[in-house]
Amino acid sequence: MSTVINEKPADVVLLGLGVMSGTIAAELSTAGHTVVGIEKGPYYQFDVDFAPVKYDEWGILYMRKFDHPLPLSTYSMRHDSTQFALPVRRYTPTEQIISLGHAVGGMAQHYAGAMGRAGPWTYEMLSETRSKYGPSFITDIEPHADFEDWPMSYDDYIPYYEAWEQSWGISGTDENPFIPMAAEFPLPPHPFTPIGSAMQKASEALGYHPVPAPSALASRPYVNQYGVSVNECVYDGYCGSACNYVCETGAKANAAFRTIPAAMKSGNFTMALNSYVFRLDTDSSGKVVDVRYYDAMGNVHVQPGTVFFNGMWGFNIVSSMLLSGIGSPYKPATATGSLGRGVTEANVVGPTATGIIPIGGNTYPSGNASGGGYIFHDLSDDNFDHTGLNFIGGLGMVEGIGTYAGGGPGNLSTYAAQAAPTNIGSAYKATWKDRYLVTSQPVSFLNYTNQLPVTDYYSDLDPHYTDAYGDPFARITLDYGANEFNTANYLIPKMQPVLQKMGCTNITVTPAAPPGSVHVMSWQAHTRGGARIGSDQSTSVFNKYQQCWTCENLFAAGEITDMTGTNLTAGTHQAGPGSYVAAEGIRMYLENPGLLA
Amino acid sequence: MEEEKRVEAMREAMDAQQAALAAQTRAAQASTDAYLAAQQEAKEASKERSETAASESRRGFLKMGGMVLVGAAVGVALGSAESSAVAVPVASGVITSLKNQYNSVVIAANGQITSLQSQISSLNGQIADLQASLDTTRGFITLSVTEQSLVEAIGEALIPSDSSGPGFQEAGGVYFIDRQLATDYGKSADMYMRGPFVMPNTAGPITVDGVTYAGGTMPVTIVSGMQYQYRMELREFWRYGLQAFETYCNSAYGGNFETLTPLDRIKALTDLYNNTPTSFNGIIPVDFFNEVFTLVWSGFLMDPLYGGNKGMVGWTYTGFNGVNTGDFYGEGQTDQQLMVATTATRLQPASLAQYQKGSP
Repeated sequence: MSTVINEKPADVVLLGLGVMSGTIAAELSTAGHTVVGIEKGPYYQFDVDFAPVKYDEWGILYMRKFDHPLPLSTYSMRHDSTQFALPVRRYTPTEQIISLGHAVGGMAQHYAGAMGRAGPWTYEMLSETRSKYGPSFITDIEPHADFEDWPMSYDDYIPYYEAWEQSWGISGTDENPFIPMAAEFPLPPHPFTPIGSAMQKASEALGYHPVPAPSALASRPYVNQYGVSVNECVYDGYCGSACNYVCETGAKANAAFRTIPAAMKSGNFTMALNSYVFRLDTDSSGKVVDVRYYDAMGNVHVQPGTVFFNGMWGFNIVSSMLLSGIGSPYKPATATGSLGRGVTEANVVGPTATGIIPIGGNTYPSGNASGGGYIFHDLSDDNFDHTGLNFIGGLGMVEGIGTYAGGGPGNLSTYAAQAAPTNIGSAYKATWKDRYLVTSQPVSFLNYTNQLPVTDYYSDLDPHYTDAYGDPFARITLDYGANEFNTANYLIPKMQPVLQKMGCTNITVTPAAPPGSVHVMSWQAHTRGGARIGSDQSTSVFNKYQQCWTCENLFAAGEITDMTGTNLTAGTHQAGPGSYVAAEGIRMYLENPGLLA
Repeated sequence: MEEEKRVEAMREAMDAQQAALAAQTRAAQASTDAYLAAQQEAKEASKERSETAASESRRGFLKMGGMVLVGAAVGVALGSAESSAVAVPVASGVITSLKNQYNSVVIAANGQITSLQSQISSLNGQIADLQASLDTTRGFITLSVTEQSLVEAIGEALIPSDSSGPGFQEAGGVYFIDRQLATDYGKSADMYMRGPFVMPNTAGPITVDGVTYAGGTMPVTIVSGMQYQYRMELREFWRYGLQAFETYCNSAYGGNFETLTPLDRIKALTDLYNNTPTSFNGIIPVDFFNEVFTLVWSGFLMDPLYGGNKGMVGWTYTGFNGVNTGDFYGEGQTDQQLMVATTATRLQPASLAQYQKGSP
């Protein structure tokens, strides 16, 4: 039988101990405030928990031994609001790559560590486009476009970017002409691969401006602003492969290895592990008074506090607020309400441009998931003229071209996607003969596009499915739109000359699948929006301090609070600065409660 | 201590078995060597006689088919590529006598071959039995007798043992699948398994729990996390699928999958992919094909810790390193060299267990 346990009040209560909460924990606890973090997963230590067992493709990539258990909760997905949403029932090695964030450190336990700032244009996408290309340019592309400028500009965000990059220990250079930086990245780039260097030379010759792809994997031993020591990358692979490998040295940045240690050292920080938050309770004034959670034994704990920070994974921010009656639920029929509104996804819609480069090597695991390559932004954002085009934004180049070939073993992710009658018997088997010892390698440009938020896509509570405790989980209604396909179809062919210049042969450009067809939008890896920050209370849930408009002692951060998507895959890097804005907001609120302006 | 004594006794018994095995192997080897020598001698003697006969006669020559056949038989039996035709002169008395002499040699040799072949095969069987009795990890946890042979046969069809190298059978892939079906995978332990259960790509309108959806459900790609919408756990999915597949093979190809010709096996598997079977125990055949394909390849290429990829044969075949990051066996390479190299270095693979042990 479960009992109710009342916990001692804390200044700050963190819902989930992922990337965003890590910042709040470090900033507020070291400033002398009491902080309690409630995390549904365990606390893994890289040297003890990961080191002996991480080189395990089946256990990591298929059985997801360190990931969120789907029987506890999942989400459901459909492409439009006339459909019944299918629940994600399992992980697969090729598509269902998202891990829903689990354990202290959250989603960053599993990622490639691809980083990079969003450029100035991202934050003023709406006004910039209107003033440059006319007031109807966006609605001509997407009649249901539904977004504002961010409440802060790129310049406003610079100090927060710097704090974030310091705490995370980002490696890279400040040479990107499209994203001016006042301070350099704390660490130099990783060693370049021959393919990365070929891409650099080729794109430079074509007038582009390649820079080393920024990475959240430490290229040198490092100590961050909290005095937390970081080991350098040992380049032994088993790092990428759908981003799922955990890091055994802590070089891959993750709250558990960057910010949480600072909080633990402060003496003001307590963690409740294997604890599942299910409600935020509000008083008559609309403020949160406590949160309730189940512990591992099923007991209910009541945790009171002064400020609450919702650092849950993705759409759990939205569903936890909907379940608690906080905020104004979005109604798609009338396009009113803000909670659940503006969901987007940065992902590959195709087409892809691929070629074969005559550079050999070992393609088995060595290196890491996001170092070694180059990236350029000449075809991103509004860095080229969009007059007469049918899209805004541009090409996102993921981790860069020339990333180490062996970021993770590609056994499972390769053959699991190749189940077909043509792949039965000796001929297919022979394609695996010495597959990891190559004399030439494929190079591909994928297009991660700017998906524009539209009024059709949103998140709400699923009416049919419940989590392990009987509460509904998030349902996502989302598909790609015209902007994504138009961007990809226009820009990807432009990669053909780059591939040619690199010395590639067998260059092919695969066209994009049209909207509504079977495509990869059946999983969520880089989803954004749903509980957005903004200046307009009718379309946003949080203000620029990441403070809830209607519930002043509730803050949140994460990609889910982004006003718009970007063509960066790593939403973490754009959301990271938001966690530092929230930390500042919380500090201000604790000194002087009220809605911050 | 009692237990220590028992372990000691077991060790001794094992040592004795191994010694016996080694002795038997040596004996077999000795017999084979002796036979080979005898065979060589017989052949040389026969050749000498032929040459003598040839010099005695100036007439035309006739190629004797029987000799060719003998050569071929020896070649097949002992892996010799030799199968030369020997010329014999057509000279009545000499020929008959030589023919008789030669035939008696051939008959004797073939008798020896047959006898040695059966000895070798018997010894191989004994060796396999002894090895199996020494290996306490090879066995089945959940696959039924009929499932064992069917899974084995499907695995061989997908990844045949062929001239390019070992396949599913040598990798012991069936043990990988057995273990997976018996544990978390088979139990769908990490899957969300609550209802309602509605299949993807269902045309609308559909009504679920009293709610009508005009748009049905969306199509998803075959390897999506939303593809599996069955109520049954994966072990049961396999049980149903294997049964349905065998039934289908009987109706469409006239026998169990294991009895079909290699071509029909491929056809039957292709039918699964194409959803040809109209009745399949409630499973969409391609879903089953996809599950089987992934698990079969995993049995060939996942770490030996999981029961397949025995002796890392899959990794040796693909040139995969496992956890050998360049210096596991003292090769003197580093990750930093390998990750920027422009030519490939073949490394002997190392397994997770070896890595954890810290030495080869």
